[in-house]
Amino acid sequence: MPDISLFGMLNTGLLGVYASKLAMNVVSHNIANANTPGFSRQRPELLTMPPIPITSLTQPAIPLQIGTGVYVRDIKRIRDAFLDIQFRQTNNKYNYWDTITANLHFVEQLFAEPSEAGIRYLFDSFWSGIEEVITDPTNTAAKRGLVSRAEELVQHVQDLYTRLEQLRVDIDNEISQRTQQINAMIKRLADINAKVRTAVSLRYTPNDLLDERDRILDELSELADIYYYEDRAGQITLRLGNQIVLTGQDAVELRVLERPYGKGFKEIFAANSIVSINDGKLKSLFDLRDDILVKYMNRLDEFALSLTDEFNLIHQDGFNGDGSVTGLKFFNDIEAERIKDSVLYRLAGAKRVENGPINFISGMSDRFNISDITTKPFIEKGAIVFFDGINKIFSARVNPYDDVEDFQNTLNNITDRWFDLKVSAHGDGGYRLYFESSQNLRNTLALDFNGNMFNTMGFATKNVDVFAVDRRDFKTKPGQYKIAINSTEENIIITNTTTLEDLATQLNTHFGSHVIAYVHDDKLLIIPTKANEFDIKRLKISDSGGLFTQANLHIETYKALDTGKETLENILNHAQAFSIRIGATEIRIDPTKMTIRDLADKINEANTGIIAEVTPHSKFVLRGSRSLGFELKKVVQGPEALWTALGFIDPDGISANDWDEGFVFINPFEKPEDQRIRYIKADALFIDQQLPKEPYRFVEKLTVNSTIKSNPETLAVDIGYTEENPNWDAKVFKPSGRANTKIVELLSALRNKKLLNDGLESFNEYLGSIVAELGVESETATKIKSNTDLMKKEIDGERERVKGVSLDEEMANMIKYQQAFNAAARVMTAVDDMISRVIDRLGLVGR
Amino acid sequence: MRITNNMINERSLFNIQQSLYRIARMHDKLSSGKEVQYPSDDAVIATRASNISSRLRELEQFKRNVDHINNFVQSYDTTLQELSELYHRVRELMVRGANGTNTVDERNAIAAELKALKEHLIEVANTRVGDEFIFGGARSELRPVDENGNILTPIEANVRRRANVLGYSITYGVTVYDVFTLSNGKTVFSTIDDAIQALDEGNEQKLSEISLKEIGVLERSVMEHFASVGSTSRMAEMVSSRIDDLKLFNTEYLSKEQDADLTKILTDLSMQQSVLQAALKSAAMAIQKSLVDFVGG
Repeated sequence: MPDISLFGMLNTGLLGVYASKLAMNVVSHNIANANTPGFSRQRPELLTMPPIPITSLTQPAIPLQIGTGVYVRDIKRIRDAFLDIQFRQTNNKYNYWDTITANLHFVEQLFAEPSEAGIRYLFDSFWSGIEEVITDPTNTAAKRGLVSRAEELVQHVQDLYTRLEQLRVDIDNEISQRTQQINAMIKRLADINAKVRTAVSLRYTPNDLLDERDRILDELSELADIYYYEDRAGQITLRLGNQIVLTGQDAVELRVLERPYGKGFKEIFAANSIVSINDGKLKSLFDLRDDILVKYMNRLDEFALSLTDEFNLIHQDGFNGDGSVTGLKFFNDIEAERIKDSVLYRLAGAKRVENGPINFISGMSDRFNISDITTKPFIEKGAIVFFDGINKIFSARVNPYDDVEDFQNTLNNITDRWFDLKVSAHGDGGYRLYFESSQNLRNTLALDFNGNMFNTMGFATKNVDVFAVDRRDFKTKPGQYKIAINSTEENIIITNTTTLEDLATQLNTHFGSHVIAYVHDDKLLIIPTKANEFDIKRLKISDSGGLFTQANLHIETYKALDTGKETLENILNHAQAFSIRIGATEIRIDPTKMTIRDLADKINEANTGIIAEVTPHSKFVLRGSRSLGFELKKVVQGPEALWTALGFIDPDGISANDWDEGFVFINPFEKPEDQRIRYIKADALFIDQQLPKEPYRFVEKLTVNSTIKSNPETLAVDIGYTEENPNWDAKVFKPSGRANTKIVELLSALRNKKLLNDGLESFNEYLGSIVAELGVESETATKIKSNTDLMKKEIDGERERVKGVSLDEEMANMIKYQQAFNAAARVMTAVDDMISRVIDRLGLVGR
Repeated sequence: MRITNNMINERSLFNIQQSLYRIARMHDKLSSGKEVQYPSDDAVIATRASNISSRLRELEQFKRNVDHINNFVQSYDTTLQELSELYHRVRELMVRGANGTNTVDERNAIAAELKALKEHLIEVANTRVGDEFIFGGARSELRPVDENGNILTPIEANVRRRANVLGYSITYGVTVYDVFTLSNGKTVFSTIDDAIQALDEGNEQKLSEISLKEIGVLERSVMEHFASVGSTSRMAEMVSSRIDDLKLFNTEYLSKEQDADLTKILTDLSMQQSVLQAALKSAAMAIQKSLVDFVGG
């Protein structure tokens, strides 16, 4: 019967010694690598040797499982793959936000807000320069100051812009460098893959290679988002962003290729496909270069473009101090260099649509029934004196409780009249009361002697001063009086029987070209003619005999019909309502009520992204706003007659379809070359088309006009005035004097006019909102960065908890294995003793 | 829970770093005196501070505008005062002339003085401040009156001076049309000419009934403008002190928003310093010893 052999036991002891020795080696490896980055602690995997079933003398019935000792199956590294994935994802995020924060902080430093060195300070100082000119308009130093402050602002904005652009270039270089880094790492991974494969085929665990691989993957996760899996041979397949860059030992080399446009910024390619990266430092570099920095540059671009165009359109509508220069631009236009790659930003009409003939003046409107107008009563008696500006004058009276129809009849009975008071339909249903005349009603002065008649009829009024002599004061001594009015000198003869009417007749005979004299009730009215603008200040009366002083000539103020409202009806000679369409938005126009400024307001209210404006001298302007990429990028339809009247396009001479609402005025699909021809008569501004992922680059073209720079006296201050014209195209344009600062006041008002960001922000607010935007973005980035930093630390700590080497633990293990080693050795000694007992002493009984 | 030596190291370092970062921030605040240096420190406060600073700069400009108004108003004030005295003298002379008992010589003497006064009035009308004619309206480079008493300022230039203050504009100019002409456009110079002619003709009645009436109207008009210049001056003063108030208020506001609260930061700083010391001490103790130091053979 077999039994367990002593030599077998010796072997068991020997295995114990071997195992402890090996375990001790692992301990020393762990301690040696306690501070090696990426090292995972290792543990020997001790297993019992397979037992031998033996029936022995002590247990003859059942074979006992006799242990045969220990063996080391493997040395394993202790690591949690799940924590690795977690760590790498967080590391992605942390590095993304870390880079964003650092760069945004740099941008913050560039903008230098809040401080006395930022763009806002310079804009405010520029505005102060404008105010100085208003306050002291004849001072050349003030104008020079304004120009140099404008230059400072331009320089600062450009400097800021260049630095942002430089930052983009630096980031672009970093992208190339980082790509090379990634390539090197992928190459190393491929190398490791090969070695791992060999190791796995030889069935051992290449712990230190795996640690190295994990270390490289950690490093890669700083740069980009990575995804990987291990195949059966232990090799990993790696995906970077959206491209697979490593399978087995095949590494795909990443290449950086320049974009075929702009500054030639680089994109990363794997073979022939573009690599799009979704996280990590590289993603943040791309985001900064193509998006975030571009956004802030675009903010400056919008500022530059709006400032230039707004300023120019106002500035060129004025005269400089001595009235010698007009039509000058303050800044050079930000214009496209090549028409082929341009887009239409702004259209301004060629005509100054003002001071044309007024043939229609509307009173009450939008009444449901004609009778709502005709039966409106006048409460008290009254009269209106109508004067045609030359020589016709009459009065029309009403009695208490006469209504509008009675007044109409009264007027109709006057054959000598030059106008009609009519009631008719207008707009989209509804009736109105209006004056109509084939003559220009601006030449008519209608004085309301009741003070309430025009109001009752719904007409707007203005105050007009006239000279008056009351009958009771007319007690002039007989004699011959020399009177001169505006250099016409005549004698007026007064006798004892001269009445007020006689005086009127004499005045009309002598001074008919300057004034008209008319007796209404008991008052002699002396009214300047239209040639004198109905303005008594334009009369120079020399009354050396004192005729007027004796008669107590005095000024009386009356309400007069306001003939100045330049409704579209007068401009277009068209009373029916019509529509214009911007994209899908319909805008309804009632020409009897709206002026071109109302039209602009209505277009702006529609919020189509197209912004309308009217220059100081009534040129109509259409612009594309931020949401349309500063392009008139919508189809604009409306009657040809309207666009012709506003001076945008040239009439085709055929009036048949002039009121077709389907006429396409702006077609954004038209090529810029064709648009240029189409709007050849208008003042069209074409700007450079924006390239993808690039800023507009308007700031680079921002410059102060060199004429103004070299001679600040050419700065426009005076708005000047236009003369009356027969066709709503005021061509005669004259200066009014150098202390008239209307133009500069309009420029100053731009500061708080909501023109930017689709008409939501003024220049002042706009700069504030850039600061706010930058602040919020940067603050958020900083917060996310510190959060992800904490999270990363947390996960890394967790990982360290699993894989890190604890010296205490290793010490304890060391003692443990040392003791085990000693014990196993002792076992061997004991067995040795037993063997020698058997050999030396056995069978010597009785010897 | 397994804690490794490296974990303790990292943790201790992290905490010390955090503490140092806070101390650095506080040091920044203390040395710059500002709670917020960059918009990212606090976007809301930074934007507000930026807006208030901009508003302060605007107020600064308004203040300059008011000062300019004050300068001009002073010169209008003195000139109108002189004008009023001159008109008063003209009136005295006319009253004397209208007295029927004057001899021819006396009348001639009055006429001569009137002539001299007319010339003086022309000079007053052409008063300049710097190289600007203060009564010239929009054409301030143009002499308002020629040597014969004809008004040269075109009617379009009959515009008063203006300046923007606190969002509205103050009109403060006086033009030649305001104080040298009657409402019917007759100038004071032709009134004086007429008076001289009347003296020549011995037409006392004309003097008393016409010229005196006219000069009366002119005197009233000067007084009215004198009053309005006075009220503009008072208004400018009021606005000026209002601007000062606003500036003070805004500066205070800005300081409250943006300036560092030194007491609080100093307290926090000393607190943070103790925290740092504690962290250093505990780190020193925690990372010093391990089992290695005690297992020995």
